[in-house]
Amino acid sequence: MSKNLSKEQVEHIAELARIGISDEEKEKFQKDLGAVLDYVDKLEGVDVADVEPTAHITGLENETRPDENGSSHADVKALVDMAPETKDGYVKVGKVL
Amino acid sequence: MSISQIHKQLIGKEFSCKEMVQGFLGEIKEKDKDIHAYLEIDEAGAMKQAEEVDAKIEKGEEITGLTGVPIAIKDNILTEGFKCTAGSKILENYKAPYDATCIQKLRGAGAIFLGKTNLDEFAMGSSTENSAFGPTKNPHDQERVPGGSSGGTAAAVGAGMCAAGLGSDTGGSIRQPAAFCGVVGFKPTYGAVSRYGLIAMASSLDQVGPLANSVEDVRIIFDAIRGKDMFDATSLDLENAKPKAESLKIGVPKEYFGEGIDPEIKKSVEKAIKKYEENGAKIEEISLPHTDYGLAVYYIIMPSEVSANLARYDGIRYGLSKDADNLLDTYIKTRHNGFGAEARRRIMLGTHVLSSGYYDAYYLKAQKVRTLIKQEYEKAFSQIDVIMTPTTPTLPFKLGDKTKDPVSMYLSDIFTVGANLAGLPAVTIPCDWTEKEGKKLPVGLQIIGPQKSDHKVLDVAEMFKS
Repeated sequence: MSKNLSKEQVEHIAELARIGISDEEKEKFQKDLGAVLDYVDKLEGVDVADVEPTAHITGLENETRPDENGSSHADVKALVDMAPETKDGYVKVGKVL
Repeated sequence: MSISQIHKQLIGKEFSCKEMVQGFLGEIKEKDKDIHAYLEIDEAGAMKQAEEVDAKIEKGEEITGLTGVPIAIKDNILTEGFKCTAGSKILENYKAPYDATCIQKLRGAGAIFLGKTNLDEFAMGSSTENSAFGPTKNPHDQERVPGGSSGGTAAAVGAGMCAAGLGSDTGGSIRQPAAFCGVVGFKPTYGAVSRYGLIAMASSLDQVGPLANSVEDVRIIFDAIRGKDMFDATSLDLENAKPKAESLKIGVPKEYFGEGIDPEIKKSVEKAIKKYEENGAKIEEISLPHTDYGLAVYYIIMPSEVSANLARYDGIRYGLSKDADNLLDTYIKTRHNGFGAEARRRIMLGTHVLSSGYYDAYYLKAQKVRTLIKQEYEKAFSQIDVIMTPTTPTLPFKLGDKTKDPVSMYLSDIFTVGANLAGLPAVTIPCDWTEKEGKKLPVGLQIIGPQKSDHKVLDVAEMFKS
């Protein structure tokens, strides 16, 4: 069974992912993504009734650190200074609305 | 030259640290124009550090086993004083604002950072051909790839352009290039090394680990960088255990020796396992029936996590930023110009399988099969100590051979993804060399152990005598 995505689907995914794609790329991604989706289809044959999903593999639970201020590896100013635009020690962003 | 030899000769004053570092920089100058393992080299910084080490030794101060040891760092691990590009245009001019925890530990131990090494963009690939800054070549045959994504570090170690190096492994990215370049590469238990300061690819699978010329060297680096870290809530500490060769039980999964494996690799790996048997180990054929599903699970879970992790590259806070009329277009233009083809392929794949209506069929299903894979390993390890397999199904392939067909490239990871999905420690050692078109190419033997048995896995690897 071929899982080739439609051109509209590829456009929709690209929009969700905030990835601009050209017209030629749309065709290429249709083919490439379809090939991978075909490959992963083999999981259809696995019976997973009553199986719990695994998101974290070593079984750690509720790992917290002491709620204390400070002690980061990074200097805040150095991080803010990396932004293309800053104002008064804040990152400046274009209008959202 | 091994790390312990460097240490001995430094304190014995058989050479100065400056001379030794100069030697490695000379190797880089001579070889790296062809191999292209490094993206950035800090000659002045390395020499300055070397002088400081010499001054310390001169004064008779005590030094650690890693003091003055020249190390290469994969360019997705933040190291102050260097850029950190992740092999991507989107981070081409990004300077590391702080040290990753593993780097902080190596720096504290006195290691010298020679430079940052090439990788597939954001560690996505098996050949380093996805780097935005050009591919790395295999030091044993420059028509062939060094593997990936830690291909730069593997090639640097294999070509003698550093004493050892760091890589990261999400589906095989330390072990596969180590096997292709004829060096030792170790992916620790998930969480054994802090991921703080490692540029995230797929967070439930990513793990930092060493590549070096010997198991002994790999262990020295691993012991220096491991341990629980308050900056990585998934990090953990390990216990120690010593196995004995006489009672060692090795499981050999039949699924790893079937269709699709190069007959030369099969022969070499079987020969290596036979040597363990001759030294008193007991060999048992086992079955891991879900092996075949591992790669499919990986190619759902990994791109899902990739699409989430790479959402942060939006042109607002750091990295490449393309001006546009509105915020949405800033995102789209920045990401369109910044990400290469493979990164965009995986972001789109992850976005699709996580999107409304597809989540249960893909992501949730994959997480359930991941549970089955984990249980299958646990069951196997109740009967045996370690599992031995080939590290890769093929010998190093030629540049350009697999770039047109993504699925054929993905199959390079078929023997390595299992350890990531189950969080297991796994090491590759060069167990044999085979000749192809007049060039000698290495074969890797992979040794996998239960979670937290990292030292045992390294002990078993150290028993190997070629």
